[in-house]
Amino acid sequence: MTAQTLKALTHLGNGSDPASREILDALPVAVYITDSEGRLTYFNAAAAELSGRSPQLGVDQWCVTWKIFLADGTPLPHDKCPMAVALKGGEVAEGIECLAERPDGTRFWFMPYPAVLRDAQGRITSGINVLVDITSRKHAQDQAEQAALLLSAIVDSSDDAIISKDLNGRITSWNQGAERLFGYQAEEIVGRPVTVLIPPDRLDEEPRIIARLKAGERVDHFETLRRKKDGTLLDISLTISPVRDAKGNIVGASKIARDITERRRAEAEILRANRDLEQFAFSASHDLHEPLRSVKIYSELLTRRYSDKLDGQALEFLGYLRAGATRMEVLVSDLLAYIQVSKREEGPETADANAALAIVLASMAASVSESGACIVSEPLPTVPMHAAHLQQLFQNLIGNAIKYRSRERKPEIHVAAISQDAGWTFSIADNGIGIAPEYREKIFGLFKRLHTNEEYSGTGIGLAICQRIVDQYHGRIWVDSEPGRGSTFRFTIPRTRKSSE
Amino acid sequence: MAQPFEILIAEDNPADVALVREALKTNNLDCVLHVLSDGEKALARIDSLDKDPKTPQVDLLILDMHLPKHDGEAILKRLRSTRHYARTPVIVMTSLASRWIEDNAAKDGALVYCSKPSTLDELVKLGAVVRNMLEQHGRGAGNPAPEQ
Repeated sequence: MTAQTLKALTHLGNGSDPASREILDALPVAVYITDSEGRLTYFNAAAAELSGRSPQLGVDQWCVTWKIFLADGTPLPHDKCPMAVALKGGEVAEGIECLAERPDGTRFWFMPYPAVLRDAQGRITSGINVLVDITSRKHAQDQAEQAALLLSAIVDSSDDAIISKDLNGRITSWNQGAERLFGYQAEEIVGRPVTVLIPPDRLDEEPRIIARLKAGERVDHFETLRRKKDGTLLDISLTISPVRDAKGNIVGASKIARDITERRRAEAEILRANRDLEQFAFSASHDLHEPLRSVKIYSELLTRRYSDKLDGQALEFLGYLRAGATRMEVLVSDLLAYIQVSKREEGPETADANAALAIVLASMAASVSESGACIVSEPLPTVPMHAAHLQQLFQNLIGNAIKYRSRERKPEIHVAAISQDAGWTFSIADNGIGIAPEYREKIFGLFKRLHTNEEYSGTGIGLAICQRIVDQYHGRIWVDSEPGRGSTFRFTIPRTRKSSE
Repeated sequence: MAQPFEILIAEDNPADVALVREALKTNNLDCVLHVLSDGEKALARIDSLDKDPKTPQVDLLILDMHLPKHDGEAILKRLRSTRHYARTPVIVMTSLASRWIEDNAAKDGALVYCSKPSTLDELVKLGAVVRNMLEQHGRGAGNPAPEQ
């Protein structure tokens, strides 16, 4: 409220003409007038509405309200209220916030603007007070304070370290999670450069992070090392976002640091377990091959050497023995191939699919010509994967297309690849026996077979190997098929490999 | 009639020893086979042979790499460090050729390796390898054991 407004109101209040009173009556702010003793001589409708009562003129003293309290909640006697202070010749500070209670118990916040009127001799003749309702502003303020409190409680209860810094890299806030994670208390670290947390050999990370933030970029799940107060290093994942002021200028950054030491340890353990398993599978398959070799060669020797001494049934049994041993041998090697898919391949991680296909077709020349298969391929891309893996995919999928051919027609196999946003989709389409819908997912499982060994030989590992290879490149493999007409196997290879960094 | 060849075989699996006998028989090789069923016996035999004044008494060693007590590597090293058998031919029989074997075969002219037979064809091939080694490097192959 400006002094000028107050002066105008004072004039209105001073004037006893009905026009002045009409203006005061119509004002949307609470106004009341007292005599020099503080007894109410006038109040407007807004004052009655705000205070929730109709004061008695000439009786109610000092204030139009029912009860008044200071901002801290202590009751304020009416004769100490700002209007009383003013009428008694005292100085009233501007901008006092008061709380008042209505007779119905509801409360409201207001700011009083008391003023006194004097006669020519300077004696106080009357007072006028304007009460500005600030309840809604106070509520909004309270809510903002509550929200801020809640937010800081959430920040403090987080297990993650939540830190903010300015664009000079100085720490501006530090939650309890940060205290736990790094060992520094907020008091000792706020204001210090964030570089105290960075190991000396990683100091170059900070300028890069700042540059990205200044460009308005976020840094998501950046896995790195940071140094605790006691000097030990922590594996952490950092997510850093720019913080903007009300005008949208970037003024700093908020940083969430998560301790991933445990996760790293678990990952290392899984890696070790996988390696152990590979090693085990490798030795097991070798050790399993040894006794099989004896079974195979001795049953062969028996057959060859003693065929004239054995009857037909004995020879038949020997045949089963040899077939069993041979089948077991294939199983053991296939299983080994399955387990070794995850083994790190040597050599570059890009493969020219045309070359991979050519190698595979050359190695399959015998079965291709025996089956009379016609294999057509479109120009194929170069993809980010090991050539050995791509060859294995072609080998198994084209091998299946030939193996599960229809008895009624020569196999026709079409190999193609299309480029999409995320990567490439390869397709190997055949005109074979097809696969019923209920089996289209199952077939990719280990040892899953749809046919007896007499119908189509196999171990049920080939497609499981394909699945494992594609998984390793975060791709997908599936089949569309029309039973009796043919199947189309498709697999995707993403354009960029998801690295583990 | 010529004397039969003297062959040492370090192999713990009787089935594989029998296979070697079959391989020799198939190739009509007149041999005496001395079986050493673990690494300790093999080392002891090599040591005692080397001390024996009547040398050399062995034409060929057939060696399995995976033996109880001492493996094929130790046995081969011991044999090559003897006075009288440093150039005796050796056939390493293994189902899994290792880098170590490959490297040794590359620099040791009297050392070959071949996989344990799992078919009759491979059995015949093993016999041929034995014959070849005896003819090229065995006693009386125009390649006498070194003096001293």
